[in-house]
Amino acid sequence: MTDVLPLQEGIPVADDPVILAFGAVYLLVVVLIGVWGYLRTKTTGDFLITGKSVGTWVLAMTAFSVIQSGFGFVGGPELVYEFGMTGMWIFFSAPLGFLITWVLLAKRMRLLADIRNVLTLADGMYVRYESNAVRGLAGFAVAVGVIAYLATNLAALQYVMRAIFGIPVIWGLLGGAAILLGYSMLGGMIAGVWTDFLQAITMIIGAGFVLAYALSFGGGMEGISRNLASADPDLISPFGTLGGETAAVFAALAWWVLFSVGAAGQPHLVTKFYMSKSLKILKWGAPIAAISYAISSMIAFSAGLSMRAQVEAGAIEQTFSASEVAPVFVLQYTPSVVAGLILAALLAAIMSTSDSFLNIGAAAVSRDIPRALGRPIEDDRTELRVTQAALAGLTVLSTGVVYFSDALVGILGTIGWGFFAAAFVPMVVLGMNWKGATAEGAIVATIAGLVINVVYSAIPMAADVAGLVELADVINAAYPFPEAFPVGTVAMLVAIALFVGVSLATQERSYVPADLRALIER
Amino acid sequence: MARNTIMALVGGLSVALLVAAAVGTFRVFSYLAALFVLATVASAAIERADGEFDIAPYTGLVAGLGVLFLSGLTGIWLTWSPGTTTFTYVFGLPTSTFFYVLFLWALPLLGAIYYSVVFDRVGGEAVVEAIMADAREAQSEGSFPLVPRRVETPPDRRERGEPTDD
Repeated sequence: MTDVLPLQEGIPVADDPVILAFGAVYLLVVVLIGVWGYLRTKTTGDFLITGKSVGTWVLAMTAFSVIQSGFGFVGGPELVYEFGMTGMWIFFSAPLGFLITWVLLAKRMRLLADIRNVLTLADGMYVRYESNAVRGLAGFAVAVGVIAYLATNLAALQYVMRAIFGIPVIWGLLGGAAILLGYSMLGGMIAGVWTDFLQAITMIIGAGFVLAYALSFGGGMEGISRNLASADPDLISPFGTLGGETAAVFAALAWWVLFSVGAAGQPHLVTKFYMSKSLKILKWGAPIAAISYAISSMIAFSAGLSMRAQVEAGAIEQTFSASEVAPVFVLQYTPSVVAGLILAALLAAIMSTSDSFLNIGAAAVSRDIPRALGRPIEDDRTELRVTQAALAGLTVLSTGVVYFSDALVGILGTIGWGFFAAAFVPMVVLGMNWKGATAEGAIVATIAGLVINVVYSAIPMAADVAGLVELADVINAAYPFPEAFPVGTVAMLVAIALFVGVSLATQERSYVPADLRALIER
Repeated sequence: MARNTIMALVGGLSVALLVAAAVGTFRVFSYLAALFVLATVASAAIERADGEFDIAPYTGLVAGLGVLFLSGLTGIWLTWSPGTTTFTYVFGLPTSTFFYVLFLWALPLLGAIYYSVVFDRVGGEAVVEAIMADAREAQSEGSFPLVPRRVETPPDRRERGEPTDD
């Protein structure tokens, strides 16, 4: 899931041979899958979309695992521990997002890849709107979003590597990034989807164990609820406590909208549809992905609430920060085998999301942006090598961001789910279902969505970091919504309104290529 | 209802949500949010519609989700408001939180199963073949970017009117 709060405060070190063994075996397996993927990767199509070779379960699991990131496993319990049920409106909304994504895009995207030779989201938007400006904007948005997302995931990865192996954070960062780069660059998406599959299974099993142990630890659901209610009734109320009672209602409901509808705008999810063997592979994907995510969300729900309830009841002392709730729980209150499995699952959650980001980001750099600028790489073999080089470059860049600037990671962390939702829900989701959509509408909506995210999210944080507190205050004062109301939701709603309005105003320019008409009409 | 009108409704709901958030009417916002999610799902059918309000094959899905969202939100508002400090419990959760967990999270998972059941109506072999046939016909009559290279099988000797071995 997205990085609403960067994972900067660290995780305790396990110092346990069983946990170390789990981590080592896990990393060895993903590297071996990378080598196997390398042997099967011959073309750019193999590298970016697996040569359309993925079956039902692998596709559904990879869709689930790219959405469930380290944020869900560490940031989720942190949010729930801190604000009660508010955070669950993120994690309980995501399963609905899979349904919405499948309904609106599964058929359209998969058949688009058969009708035209599209390998990326920007390719798809180029053929839909026949506009290089749309293609360039899509590629640019993907590249920016990927660097932002990747940096926050690598920031989390360094602490998880330290937690499992007890190594210094810098070696955790470099080692984790090297392994991620190794299997992603070698095996491309063939390795990516199979490691995602392994990672998804690990996460589901880990979440099941956390649920069982957390409920038992907290004295059952009613025990947890009553302890929380006696400390602060809002913690266990439907909307939680973030920002105060009324603001929490808006924050929660805004997350419901953003994480359900916004799911269909996540490029690392929707490009998975290109990868399926055929359309019928997608038939059962929505329930498999949605139910898998629902199970995995139990980590945030149970660990967060249970730990807070025990602290409020005085049963345990709070010697940890909110961001350490999940690792402290698994390390101190579950057996070593379970803790090893869950920390491997956390590693999996981070890496499965990161490899998909790397893949689409590299494609944006090597394919989408050059083509939008009229400088395509014509030779497929050369394009494949440039894509692999771009993948390495993105990893080095994001690793450098994490190493040199915690502040920059934090700023980039504000550009996440909402950034992609604002950029791609109008252009992709509505555009692939509405013949009245125009390139002008897509361009205006995308730019507006990106600008709102940067102005109200990234700039105030950058101003704070730079000591320009007055500038941050001025911008925050101009935000016409409750403080806790997510900027991403505002950006997505404004982008949709502009997309529809501008498209309606430019209807005389609406155009759907003749070979795509039947795809949108049926 | 014309397809542009339905899409204008989606855009209008976006604006309405922003206004409701800005003026602080959270109950109105909650129902508008539900309508927005439903309208977005229904937009998958706007080019398929044979008539007004025809959102087949997603009618059941939209109606089902609509009932769940209405039940969940109304249940929450009937049992909770800001300042509530005492609860009754259902399955270990305060009743209002139980409404949220059941109607807005757990039961909508059935929607994904429902979608899989009606999938053949939008993605069955006949539908796919018809779409691909139309696409290939259009491509044979015009020039489009990124069209896959197609290797045409040469006609066999019988089709060319040449003598065969048999």
